[in-house]
Amino acid sequence: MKNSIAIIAITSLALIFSACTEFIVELDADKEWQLAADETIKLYYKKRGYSEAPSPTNEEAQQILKNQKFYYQAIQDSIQRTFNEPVLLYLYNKDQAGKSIGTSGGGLSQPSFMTIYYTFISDIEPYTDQYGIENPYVGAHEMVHIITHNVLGHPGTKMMSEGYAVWLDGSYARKDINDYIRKFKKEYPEYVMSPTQLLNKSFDDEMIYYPNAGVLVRYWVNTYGLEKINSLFSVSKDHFKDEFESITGTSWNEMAAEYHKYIETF
Amino acid sequence: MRSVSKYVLLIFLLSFTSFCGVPKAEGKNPDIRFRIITGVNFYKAFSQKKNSMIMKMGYPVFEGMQWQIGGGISISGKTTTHHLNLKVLHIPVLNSDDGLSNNFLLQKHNSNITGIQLEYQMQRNLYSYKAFELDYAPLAGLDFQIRNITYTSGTGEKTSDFNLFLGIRSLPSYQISQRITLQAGFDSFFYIPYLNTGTLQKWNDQGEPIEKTNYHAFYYRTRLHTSLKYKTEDGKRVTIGYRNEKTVGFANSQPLFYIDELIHHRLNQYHNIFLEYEF
Repeated sequence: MKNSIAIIAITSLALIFSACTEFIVELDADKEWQLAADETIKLYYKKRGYSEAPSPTNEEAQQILKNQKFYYQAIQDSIQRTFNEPVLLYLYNKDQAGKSIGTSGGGLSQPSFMTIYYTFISDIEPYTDQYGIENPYVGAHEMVHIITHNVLGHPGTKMMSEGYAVWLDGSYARKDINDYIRKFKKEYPEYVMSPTQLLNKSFDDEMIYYPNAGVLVRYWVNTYGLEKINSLFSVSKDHFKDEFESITGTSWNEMAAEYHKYIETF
Repeated sequence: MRSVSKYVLLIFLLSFTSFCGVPKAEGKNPDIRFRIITGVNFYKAFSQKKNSMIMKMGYPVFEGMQWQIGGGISISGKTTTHHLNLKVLHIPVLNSDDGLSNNFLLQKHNSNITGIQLEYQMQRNLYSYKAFELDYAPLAGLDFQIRNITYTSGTGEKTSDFNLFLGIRSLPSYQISQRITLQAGFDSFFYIPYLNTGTLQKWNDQGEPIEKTNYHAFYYRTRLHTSLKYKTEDGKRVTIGYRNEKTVGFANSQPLFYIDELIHHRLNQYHNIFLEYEF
């Protein structure tokens, strides 16, 4: 009897554990892609009629390719580093994206695989980005992650990782980051984050965190110079204040007070 | 280096303590067997497409054929068999596949993986009925792996993992004839982040170092296996088998069981064919 119970228990556990990787990770080896490519950008998109949500037309795919190529170079110019690796961009139709990549309103990047996964939304809100590109289907944000993580190192803080991406994209959710800060100041002053709050990730909400991080990094680059801020990209949270003071020659508190004055000018 | 020595010492201590205890505890001379193992793995490391639960892995993928050689010793007492195995694994050429069979990412001849695994198992019988036996084996081991990636234009990434794992094997077997035994089962391995360490290094396309970051990995590895064992007239054993192995998990700068600052991940699959000779 004892043995039977033990066998049932072991067999049940084995069955549960054998499926366990599927409880954590599922394989989604989707191979149905159309490829539009140049030397640096490889764009994978779904053919027309693939799902109920629209797929890009060939013209739209070419436009996305052209825009990404532009961002690819503009980001390198902005951070004064060179990067020559091809970047893969997988574009999911809106009705598949939530299931496949976890969002149907944006995307994510995997810098180790030089890869961006993104949602194609055909009826996007009209918006012209800081580079003058009208209605880009895919912005510069994820491309910044791919390039910065590979040329500046693994980011030591969320503040620097997202701060660079939002600064160089210039927007969050297709709205200018300056407009967020103005709105926060006017309607939700508690959402204007100090450098210490950004370092400590005091707000988890991306809508609050991302524009604040972008504005702070832009301020730092304009105030202390790009090279000094680039060298802080991979510094961990625990050492960040000390490294900041050592590299810029400015105390953290003094910088925070000056930044507060800068925000007042918005 | 000190932490590495500590873990190696722990595994050796664990195995030798158990080995030395066999004859005394069981009141007879133990049966000692040696084995050599060779095999080939078909390796795939997937990208992470979705990092919220349930995570999704997909293209692009790094893939390669991995050679494996190893050896081991087994000491059998009355109720317990102790196994100590050492395996060396090497993938000399690592390719990438974007899902359409294009390699846009890697300089394949400058990308490779080398690993060493030391594993100790303590096998006991749980149940037997006629020709059917169900054994189980708690296990502990060390997993050391270096992955060198060289991207198309020369950007480089190297990850070095030094992990201690704990796990359990299930070993059901059925003796088909006097000489042939069919075995199949399921093994699971837990890599606890507090016991693991790793390093990520990156280079730019000029070969200049960009960064070096330490991490702690939390991995879960599963292995489904099946094999046929043939016993020769003079008591030697030849085993041929297949294993399907999956490793999933992530590494943060701090030892954590959830993703915080994702530095590295393993979403790996192996198909392994092996041949074992025991004497």
